[in-house]
Amino acid sequence: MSSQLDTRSVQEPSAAQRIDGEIYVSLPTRKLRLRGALLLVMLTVAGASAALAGYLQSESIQAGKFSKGETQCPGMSPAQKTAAQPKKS
Amino acid sequence: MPWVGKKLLANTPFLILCCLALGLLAYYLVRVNQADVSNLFTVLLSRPDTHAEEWNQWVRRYGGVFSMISPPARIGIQERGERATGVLIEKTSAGFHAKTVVSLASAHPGLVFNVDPVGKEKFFKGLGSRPEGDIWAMMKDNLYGDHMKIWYNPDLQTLKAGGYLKLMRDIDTKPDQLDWKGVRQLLGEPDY
Repeated sequence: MSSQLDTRSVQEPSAAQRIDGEIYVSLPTRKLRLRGALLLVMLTVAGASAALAGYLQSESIQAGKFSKGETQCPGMSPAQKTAAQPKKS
Repeated sequence: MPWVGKKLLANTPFLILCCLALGLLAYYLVRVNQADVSNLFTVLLSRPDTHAEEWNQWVRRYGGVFSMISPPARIGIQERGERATGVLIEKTSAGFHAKTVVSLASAHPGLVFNVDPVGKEKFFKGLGSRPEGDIWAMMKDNLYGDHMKIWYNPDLQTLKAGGYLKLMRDIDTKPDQLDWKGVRQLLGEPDY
């Protein structure tokens, strides 16, 4: 029984350490790596979303490559103005 | 792995907060660009382009509104929410064809119609039964009712040569940098 415990402690070290005067209990290395991988995945997802949003913003019609038209009808003849009125149902 | 990194990774609340913040950021960015992202996946994954198909039906019914535009010509259609992507309508000697594109600006359309849901409903109401000539009134209704905005290629010569300027003028819209007298002069129309 004690030899099994000794084997486990060698494979997954979790010894307490004193850092800056505080006791710090480290996680097993495997757990730390999993957490690191999770954080890396989340950073990648957020980075990809930001890159995509940046690309879509740069390609936006409203970003400056096109201009916005003005809708109005001054200078039209009275007949044309009448014809241009929206039909009322 | 440096002990600082280990300390941060071992800090469970910190890790949870980080993951939540990054996840929320990604969700927000995708949500804000939802329409464009959806079109992007339609194009990239070659999904059925129902979006373009309905505008295909529309332009085949009301294509007369683009009669003054000489082929090859390109008109963009965007629905509200779309900023970069949209439906590109190409006019060729064979007729009209609509397809969804990832970057409408890169396709260099002469005009882009940006339509809100109310405007789109007006365009598609009675699609199979309304007279073709009703499109002019529908266009003006949408413009005056602020259900549609028009974005144009700022190169006036391209606008004029392609027939886009005449289309704009016929639906009571003009380029921002010209007054109506300037539009008539450019089109060679008499002054009133």
